[in-house]
Amino acid sequence: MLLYSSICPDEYTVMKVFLISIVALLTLNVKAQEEKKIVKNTFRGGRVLNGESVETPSKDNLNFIIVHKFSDLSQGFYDFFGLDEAEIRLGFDYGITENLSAGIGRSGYQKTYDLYSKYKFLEQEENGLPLSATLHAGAFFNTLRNIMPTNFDTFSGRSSYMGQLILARKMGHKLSVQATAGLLYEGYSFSEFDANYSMFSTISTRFRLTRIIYIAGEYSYITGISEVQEYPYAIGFNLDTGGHLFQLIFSNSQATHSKSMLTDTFDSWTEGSVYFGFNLVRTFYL
Amino acid sequence: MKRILSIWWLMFIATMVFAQNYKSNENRIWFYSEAPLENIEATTNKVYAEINYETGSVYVKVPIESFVFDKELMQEHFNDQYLESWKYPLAEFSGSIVEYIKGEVHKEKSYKVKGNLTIHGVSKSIETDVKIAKTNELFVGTLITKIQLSDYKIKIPRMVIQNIAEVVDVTILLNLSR
Repeated sequence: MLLYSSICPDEYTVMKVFLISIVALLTLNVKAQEEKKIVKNTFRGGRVLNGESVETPSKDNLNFIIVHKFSDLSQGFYDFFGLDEAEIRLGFDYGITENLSAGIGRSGYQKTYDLYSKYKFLEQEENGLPLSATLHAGAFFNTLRNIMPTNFDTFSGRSSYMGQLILARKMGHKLSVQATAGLLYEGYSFSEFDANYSMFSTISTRFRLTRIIYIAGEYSYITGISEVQEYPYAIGFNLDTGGHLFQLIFSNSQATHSKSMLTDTFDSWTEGSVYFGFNLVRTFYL
Repeated sequence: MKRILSIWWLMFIATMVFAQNYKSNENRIWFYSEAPLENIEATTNKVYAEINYETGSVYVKVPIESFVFDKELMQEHFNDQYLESWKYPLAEFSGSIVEYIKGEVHKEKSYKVKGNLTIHGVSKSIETDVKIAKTNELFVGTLITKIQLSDYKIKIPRMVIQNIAEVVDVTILLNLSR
């Protein structure tokens, strides 16, 4: 006991050590709470089904996208249920940064070239920001010959532009929902689409069935459509494997890009017209 | 007052003298899968490990989300589809060194370590080799083992069977201090 009292420090030293250790414990605790986890995989690939999704490719990832839409299933056995005719779009989507992407593509439909860019300016966080948000801007140019009326056979007559705000939220680990609102300008309309300018909105959802299979649905509304046109909708399945994403789509629209999806849809499932198609997205790491 | 403070001081000293646990938050794990179409590997620096110098007991804990892959999409699939890390965020090993004699670890030596490994919510009793050496303040070790994915209910879809090995090589590098 005597030996112990000789090595025991005075009260002030003990108090100092005590206070310093309390402060150290508290600061360590506060630091651990600062990192917020970003919610990933709200959707996979740049499209939900026919329309754009909130996602952009990761930095330096190049997505090669093939959109293959067969003709109407109601065509019957002779035309092999529409598989003999198909509309195709080939395109690339590149991640410039984690949040900014640019893409190009070409569709056989009206021989259209399209360019677009997406900027994901909000990312949903676990226990933090409740939404992801992306701005999407696209331009479409048809390059058809001998079809455009003389007045519209110009660069601006052949161009259409679209801008939309995409908001999405992932709920839990299985359900994602998305809503968009946008503006569309059409240089010239082959259909009896009335106005040059229209507003549109798309709502979509994706639900996880198994580790790799999801079911998805999509519905769009657009202002100013004529009697012969229909609002486009689709349901489908996503198969997410390794570096490939397969999206199987059943839709009332044979469109391969979002502008023609909105302006050139004339059929409905109630009339028996169902268009089957698929998107194939392959990710290359550059 | 002086008595309370001196008792507290004694306890404070005691925790330091009796700290026979060598531990660290920054150990490394590297795993490697070799398959016909693709070789996959990932590493993490955020492994917590602890060895008790007196008893030779070993504890390792790693957050699954800390594994870093070259390809971010692969990292997402790893967490989302294979390890389901939102359900099972940690992999743990709890066991002890077989035939441990504390005096002998000052020279690098190979031992067997036996215990329970829990991955993806499934616990399995394993026995594997570890090479350890102890200096005054550090305990270093290398543990190399093979893990059969199906043992831990980690399912490989038939479509990617040529891309992912059924048995994965795992290397754990331990660097522990008091």
